[in-house]
Amino acid sequence: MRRVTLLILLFLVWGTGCGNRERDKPLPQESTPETIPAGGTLIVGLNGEPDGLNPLFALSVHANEIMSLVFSRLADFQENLHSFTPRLAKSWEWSPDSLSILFHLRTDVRWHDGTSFSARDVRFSYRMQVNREIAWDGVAYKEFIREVTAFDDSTAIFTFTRKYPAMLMDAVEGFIVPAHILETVPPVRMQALDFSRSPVGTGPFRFEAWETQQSIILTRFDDYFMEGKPYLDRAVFKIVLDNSNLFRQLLSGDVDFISGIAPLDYLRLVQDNKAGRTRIRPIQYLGRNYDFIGWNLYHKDSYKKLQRGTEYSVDQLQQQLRPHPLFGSRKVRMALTMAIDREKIAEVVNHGMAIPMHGPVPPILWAYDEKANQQWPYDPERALRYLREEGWTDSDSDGVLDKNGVKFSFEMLTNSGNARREQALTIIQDQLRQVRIEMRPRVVEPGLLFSRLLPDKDFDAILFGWVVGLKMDLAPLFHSSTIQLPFHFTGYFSQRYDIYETLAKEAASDKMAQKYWDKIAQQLSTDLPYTWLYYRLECSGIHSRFRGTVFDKRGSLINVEDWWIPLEERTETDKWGGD
Amino acid sequence: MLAYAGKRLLGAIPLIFIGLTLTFFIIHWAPGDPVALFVTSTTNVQAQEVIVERFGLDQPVFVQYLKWLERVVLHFDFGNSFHSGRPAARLIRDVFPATLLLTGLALLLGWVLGLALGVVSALYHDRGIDRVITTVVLFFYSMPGFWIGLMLLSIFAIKLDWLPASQLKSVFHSQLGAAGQIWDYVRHLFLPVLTLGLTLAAIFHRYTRTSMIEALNADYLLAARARGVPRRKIIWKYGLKNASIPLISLLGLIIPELLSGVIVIETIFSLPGMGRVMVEAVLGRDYPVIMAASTLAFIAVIAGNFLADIGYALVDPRIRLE
Repeated sequence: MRRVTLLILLFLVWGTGCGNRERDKPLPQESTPETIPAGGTLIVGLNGEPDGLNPLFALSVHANEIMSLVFSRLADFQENLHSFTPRLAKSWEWSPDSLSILFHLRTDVRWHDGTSFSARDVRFSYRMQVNREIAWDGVAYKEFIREVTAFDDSTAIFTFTRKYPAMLMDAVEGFIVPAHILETVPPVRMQALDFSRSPVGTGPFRFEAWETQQSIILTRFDDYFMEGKPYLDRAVFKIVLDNSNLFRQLLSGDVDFISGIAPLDYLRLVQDNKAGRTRIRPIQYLGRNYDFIGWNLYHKDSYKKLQRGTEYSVDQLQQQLRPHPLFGSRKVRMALTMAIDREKIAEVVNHGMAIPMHGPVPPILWAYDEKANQQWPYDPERALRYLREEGWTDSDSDGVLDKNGVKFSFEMLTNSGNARREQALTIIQDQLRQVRIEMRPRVVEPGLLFSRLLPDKDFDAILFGWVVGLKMDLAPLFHSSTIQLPFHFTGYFSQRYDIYETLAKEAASDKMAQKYWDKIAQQLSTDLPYTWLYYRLECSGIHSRFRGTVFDKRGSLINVEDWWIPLEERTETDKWGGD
Repeated sequence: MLAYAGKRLLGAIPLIFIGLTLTFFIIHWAPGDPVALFVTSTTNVQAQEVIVERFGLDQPVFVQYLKWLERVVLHFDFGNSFHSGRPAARLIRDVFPATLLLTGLALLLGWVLGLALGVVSALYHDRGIDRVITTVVLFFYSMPGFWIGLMLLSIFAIKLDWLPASQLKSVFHSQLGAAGQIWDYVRHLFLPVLTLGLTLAAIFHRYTRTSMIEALNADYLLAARARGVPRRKIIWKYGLKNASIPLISLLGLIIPELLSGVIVIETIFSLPGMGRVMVEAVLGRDYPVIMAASTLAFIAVIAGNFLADIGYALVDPRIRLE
């Protein structure tokens, strides 16, 4: 959900919301839950090692996948990313003043070490999540929670400082961690505990072994609170660094499931599957990643006048910041957007595994409304006209536009290690040349990018991407209050935007909120601090012997406890080396 | 000899110290900020400060250096990894045996194969068999290790499916009997050891061949032959012993190369090891781990050179170590 891993260069943004999905056919008649045969092993291939398995500290995507099998939340997102299914909480109710939520907890839940789960764990988890020394990365979810109290063993009460639509989401976010193991340890020393390498949770699978840089093995937790589940005996996470090696192992049956398959490999898998040459079933759904071009709207030197850590009002920002000589003009950004054939780029660099994107709201989130976006066609003629109207002409006939002696020439950055973005960069360079704009691609080492260029806003334009979080929130990217934070690197600010965002977040109903999100989408897709390029489809493959699988925008391992394997289809793997 | 060894060991300490000091300042001054890697869209300014404090990065680099030095010298504590929070020394300890196993076996294979082929090449030099060996060896010498690795991988692990394509052992390893476990290791290590070993064999072959040709043409061997010393004794006892002196110094020089070669092999075959720890630490600006791994690398290189010097004395009585 929210988590960064630098090695694979995904960065996150929280967001919330809807999309397509893939689900198995309904269970055949003979396989009612009572007759589902238990047993079998799932081997998941990962292309990197998790950075730990303590939910308070681990940040990587892989860690989160594994933790979702070992730990539980109070409630889980449903597919609409808007309502919730009870988990550790049986049910919840609101106080008359709507400022508190009372959770009735299950009483049949045990930690993997046998200790009973209680409201004490819920209270402890909250206190650690907001503990300053722990610096949990999801702490923003808990911003408006005043306190969590354990009324009795099976009742936890969340009290809020204000009323807003996302209260329930904020309350249930985060895995519940065991108080009886962690509460005796000072927070500063917690990450170094063995717990981070051998976690104890309440989830369907218990931790068994972690071979450094090799594999992590989980086994079925017999006392899991959903009776009869999970069906599988084991979930093994095999760490194979090389993506193409991982894909080969999927085809050869050495791993059962991988996500993030490269587009060309995926196309091959689809063909092989159609022709009956492989038992691997291709799966595709709207993923969590999109790429965009971010324009630096203000002169990079003028940012230096801002004092770190001080919040500026929109008026103050207006006074302090000087527009960027090229991208300071909205009309120029419109021209640049129209000069770039985004549909072609989406198609070419993703081999068709992406959809074009036109506005700030990711298509998987509930607030997404394509009609709200101002759409800019690919129209180099009109782009040239707009540029001319802004005073950009090729007065010296050298093939590059100029204005008052300044050439329309700039550098566009992207992070190294991402072939897709590098390829997109060269296509964009070529397309901009058609409208006589000189763009110089520059591939930058991520360390330099994140520690200096982006925080200092020392760049002209950047081709980059975000990983979408499930909470509908654009403030880290565009709100004036976040202008000094690292993810808000375009320098965009607008009084109107700030008001809409506040109204959307405090709206009494979803319908009202939608109205404001639509206004935001309309405004940002007209102001164009970004030129959105494409939203990527997630390509995965799973061995066809697994039944009961659900894959959708919530992720790939969301219901492993429901997965099962018919007896007649079991392989050597399922026998676990012959036992 | 013992006095010499002691002197060398003492001399190594300032060398390691200088090396580590340089490394410390280079990584701290190099662009890239460990904290930047922890920043997500929800991280606020206060949270960043907490992370900076947690890592001790709020202090001047020189103070950080002194603190680091104090911890390492007095407590042999390299600090905790920024990323996993685990002690850096333990991270290294977890994977070091695997690296030792891989490099040890590869060195053995490279040494035996390179020496044998080198002797054959020298005996038949400029004849058909030497030309064939030299051409094949030149191929492995000039091809980058990752290419050889990928080729072997795609032939033996993917096309033929004889051997596993990754890991040090199968995920079922713990379910196997003792013999099964050894066989499991052999199957998994075969390709990585072969990849690294072939490159090393190519290097050893070239040196063996040259110095063996030289030795075989030396006057003292001509004299030995004239006196009727058996050919086998001339080649293996007198010839090879003299020819192996440069090989010993090569062994000392090859360790840094081995350490970098192992990064590629570990990545291609997804083996656990020092190389991967090091690369991940550098990319993630994980200073404590970089320092711990560098310490071990410095020690390995210095130890390699030291052993090479001792080896000289053992092979060649004319060399006196003082």
